Formats: sequence, C-alpha cells, structure tokens
Amino acid sequence: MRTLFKASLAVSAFVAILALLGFTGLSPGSLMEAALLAMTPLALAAIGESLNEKGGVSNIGIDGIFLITATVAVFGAEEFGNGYAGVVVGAIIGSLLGFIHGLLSTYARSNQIVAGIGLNIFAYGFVPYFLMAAWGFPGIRVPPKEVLVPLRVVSFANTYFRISEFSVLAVALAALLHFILYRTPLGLRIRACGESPEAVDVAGVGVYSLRVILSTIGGALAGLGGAFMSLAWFGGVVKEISAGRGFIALACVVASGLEPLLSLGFAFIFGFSEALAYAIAVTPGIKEMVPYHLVLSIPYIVTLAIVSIFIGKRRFPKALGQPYIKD
Amino acid sequence: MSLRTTVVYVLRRIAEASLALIIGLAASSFLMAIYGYDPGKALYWLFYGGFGTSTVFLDSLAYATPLMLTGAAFAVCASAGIFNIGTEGQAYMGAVGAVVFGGLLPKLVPTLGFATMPLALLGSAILGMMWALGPALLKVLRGVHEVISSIMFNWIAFYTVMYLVRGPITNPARPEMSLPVEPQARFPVLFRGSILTGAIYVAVIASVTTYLVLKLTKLGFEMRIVGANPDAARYGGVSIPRTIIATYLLSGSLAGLGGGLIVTGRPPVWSIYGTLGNIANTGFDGIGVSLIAMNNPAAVVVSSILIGGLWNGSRFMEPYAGVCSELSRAVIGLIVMALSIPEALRFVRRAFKRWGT
Repeated sequence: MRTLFKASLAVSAFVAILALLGFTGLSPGSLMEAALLAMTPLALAAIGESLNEKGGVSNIGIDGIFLITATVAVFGAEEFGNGYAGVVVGAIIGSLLGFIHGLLSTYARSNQIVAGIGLNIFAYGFVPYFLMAAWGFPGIRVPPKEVLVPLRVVSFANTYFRISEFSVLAVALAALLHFILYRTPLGLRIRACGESPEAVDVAGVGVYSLRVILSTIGGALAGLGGAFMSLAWFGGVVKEISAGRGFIALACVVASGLEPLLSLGFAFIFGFSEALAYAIAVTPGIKEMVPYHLVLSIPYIVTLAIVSIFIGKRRFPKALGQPYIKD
Repeated sequence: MSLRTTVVYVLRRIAEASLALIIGLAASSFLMAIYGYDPGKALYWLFYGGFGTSTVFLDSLAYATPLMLTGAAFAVCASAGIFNIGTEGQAYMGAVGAVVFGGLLPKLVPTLGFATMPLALLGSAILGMMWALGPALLKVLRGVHEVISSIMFNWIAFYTVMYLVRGPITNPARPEMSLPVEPQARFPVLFRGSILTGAIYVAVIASVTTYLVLKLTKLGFEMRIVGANPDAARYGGVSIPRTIIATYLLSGSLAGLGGGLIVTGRPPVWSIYGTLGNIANTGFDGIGVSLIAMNNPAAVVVSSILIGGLWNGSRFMEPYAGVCSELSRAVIGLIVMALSIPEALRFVRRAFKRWGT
C-alpha cells in the first residue's frame, strides 16, 4: 500500500512539473517523446544488469557494449538492408560480449571491475577503428533512412505521439524479470547465486554456468539498447554515441537496489532529465539564458544526486563482485 | 629481499606484462586481418613509430609524461582498494588549473610573474584534488560506488571545461583554443627537434615520491592496510573514511598535475583545444599504465613509456599502414582485460617458480 502511495505521489509530482514546464514554452508532448526514447536504452541495459548482478556478477563494461553494438548494428542493418536485422545483430554481438565478460568473471576468476574497465577502453578504441575500417570515414556514419527502425505514430487526444516498440518491450521485460526473480524457482536460484553461491553449488546447480548465462542475457539486453540508440533514436552512429550512458544504466541498477521495476523508473527519470537538458539547449527563448555545454551536464548531475539519495537504504547480494572459487 | 630474488621478481613482473601485451597485440592483429589490413605492417609502424629511432623515442617519452602521473594516481587509489577512474576528469580540471594559474593570473596580476611556473603546477594539482573530493565524499558519506560517481564527474568535467575553453578562458586571438600559458610557465625543450620537455622530471619525481609515501609513511601504510584488509584496519584503529579521503586527494592532485603538464610541458600549443583533443584519454590510459605496472607507482615510470610509445607510434600506423590510429586504444583495452585474469598471471608465476620466487 505504501509503495502504491509513494508511486502515485511521484507520478502526480511529475505531471505537475510537466505542466509547469509547459508554461515556459517547452512542449510536454515532445518532452515525453524524447524522455521515452532516452529511457529505453538505459532501461534495457539496467534490467539486464540487475539480473546479472542478482546472480553475483557486475559488469561495468556496459558503456563499451553500448558503443560497440550501436556501431555494428548500423553495419548489420546496412548489410541486410533492414533495421530490425541490425537490432538483432546488435543483440547478438552484445550477448557475445556479455558471454566473454561472464567467462572472465567465472572460469577465469578475473577482477570484474578491471575486466569491465578493459572492455570499455577496448570499445573506445575499437569503435573509431571499426567506423574507419567499414566505411572509410572517421568518427561518424549516417545510414540511409530505409534501414533505420521507424518509430510508431499513435494518435492520443488529438495529438500525435511517436513511440518505439522497444520502449514497450523494455517495460514488459522489466515486469517479466520481476516475476521471474521473485515468483519462480529459477528466480530463487538466481538470487541464491548472488547471496550464497556455495548453497547453489551444493544444491547441484552450476554457479559458473548460471552466471555465464545471466551475463550473456545482460549483454544481449545492453546490445539491444545500443542498437536502439543508433538505429531508432539517433538515426546514425558517432564514435562517442554512448556518452557515458552505460554508467547511467549502472546508476539505475544500484539506485534501485537491483530491482528491475524500480530501475525502469530510474531509467525514466534519467531519460527525462536528458530530454529536458536537450530541450533547454535548443528551445529559443530559453537557450540564451544558460550556457549550452553546462546544460548538457544536467543528466550527469541528476544521476549523481539520485544515486546518492537512494543508495543509502539498499542492500546488495553478499557475493556480488566476488569470484566464486570451488574448494 | 636479496638481490637475486629482487631481480627474479622484476623479471617475473616484466614477463607477466609482456604476456598481456602479446595477448593484446594478437587479438588486435586478428581484428586487423578480418578487415583486410596487414597486421605485420601495422604493428611494425606502431613499434617503429614509438621506439624505432631516438627522435621518436624522445617524443614517446613526452607522451608518457602525463601518463606517468595519471598512472601513479590510479595506482595510489588501487593500493587502498579504490578504482579511481575519475582521473580523466581530474586531469581535465588540472589542465584548466594550469591555464588559469599559468596564463590568466599572470595577466591579471603581473607582480606574480616570477612564480608563474610553480603557481601553474600548484594550481593544476589543487584543481585535480578538488575534483577528486566529490567522489571521495560521496563514497564515504553515502556509500556511492566510486566507479559510477567518477564517470559522472568525468562527464561534468568534460562539459565544464568545454564551456570554459570556449567562454571565460578562451584565447581571443584563436577562439578554437584556450589562453596559452605564459612563456615563464612553459617547460624548456630538452632536445632540439623533439617535444620532450623538462616536465618529465616533475612526473618522475612525483611518481617516485608517491611510491615512497606508500611504502615508508604512516599514511601510506594506512592506505595499504585499508586496501588489503578493511576489517584489520578498523580493529587497528585506522579511520577508514579519513584514509579514503586522503587517498583520493593525493590521487586527484597527481592526476591534476598530469593534466596540467600537458599544457605546460608539451609544445607547440601550450593551451587546451576547444575539442579537448590534446587532453582527452590521459586519465583512461593511465589506468592501463597502472595495471601493467601492477599498481606500483614507481614501476609506472616504465609502463607509461610503453603506452606513450603506443600513442606516438599510432600516429605513424595511420599514414603508413592505413590503420586508424585509435586502434592503439583497443590494444590497451585488450591488455587491461588480459591483466584482469589471475589465471594468466599464475601461468607466468609457475614458470618462474623454479628460480625461487
């Protein structure tokens, strides 16, 4: 009941803010459109990562997965001549990267943070290299419009609203994973894998294989987010396309205490702050008042504020980040 | 340690780093071969351009200079069990400090002209330190993991510095870059025809001093014990929050100094580009430098030369082998991933066991 009360309080506060913003000349409708677009990659990656972290492995290489999959998804879309095929390519490459990180974190007993940092640095170098190798042009690729993933237009109270089916997918997946984690025997195993891997091992379930599978799923969802970014949201790829969003997705995960549904909510808040920052930076009448570059740092400041407010109450799986070593 | 054990220990560390380097190079050769490049030619130019002649080697040392400091900065935090990947943002702020205290202040207050260089160095260290305070306080007071907060601080620093370089501290004559530092704040070029300046002395002295602080002082001991065993530290009466903040401040000042030395110690620009092109990635590649040196601030002096050489050599790889220069960063990332695998290091350790360590 209390959660419901809090949620309705948050929603009404949000609607009030949106209405107030309407008076300043920012259109609430286009803000919501942009917010949902910005939410989607964060939410997809955050959902995958909360599943992954419930199982005891944290992957801070999400930012690198975003970058790599955003780029190869464009390549795939152009090769197959279809945006959805590009998204599939992104998800497959993402799952491959997640699989590699899973192997490193389990069988190879790597330091998970170091492996993740390595993945990010690799991506920062690989993406400009790949852009150059695939298209012979430095730093940016804008594919033809036909191979992009189109947004759906829904009419809503006499206005048109553009939305992507992947935003809906993100919401559905968050609900599905919440159900799996807390209502099924499989979810119990996953949570036990992060709390006490010894017990899971004794019960005859392979800790390593389960963690590798979770890591692969997490990577696939992050890859879906990366592909969404280049093919559905921006309509192209630049070498800094992720702009630290992988870490904002991680911030969603830790601020929510690894709850998929809550992390979806945080992803929306961060997406909204990004949409707002962008709207401020381009809307005439407002953009003159504040320096452009400082406005662009708003999402990162919001992330810091939200994580520091919400993290205090959270508890994390006991074995999170620890390599499990069988005796 | 006897001399023989020390030598074997150093050799083993070199072998471990080399194994990671070989893995990184092999994987990137594979990537090059897929896209029809000639890996042999690319790697030849990468290494010839980094270490092949004395001229390019001196330039590699110049590129290694800031990496030494960001590497030492990461190493300090790593010894206390903290992953300070905020060195990137701290280096940006340090570069701003150098411009403000070495370029802007002497213009406004000409009487300070005699102290421009020390002021620029001090200013960059202080700004880097201040930028490290944020993640430190968030970690200590709120338990926010430093990896997340540091990246947010990096991006805030990125946009703040971009705003500053194009606004308050821009060069009116050349709006695409910041004010240059005054000639008194610039380190002299050591050899004609190279970009190596006296800044490297500052970097080496700072790295070795950091090593000595870690090994010999009470603070260094507290940092290491907090990193190795927080429970033991707590029972031993060490204040963990105080140690973490002190570690961060030391680390931030080193990273800031590293960013500042790019401005005061690398001809010919002596300023920050509006795109941040000349100061970007200094912090991130410092992570690789530190990990290759097994997070030892003294060994960072050597490993930074390797990464500095890769930076320098990649500028030759692009025109002569046609491979995008940023592939060198992918090599660094692969090296870091290889270094995260204890099993790979254990393989080297077993090989060295016969010799007694």
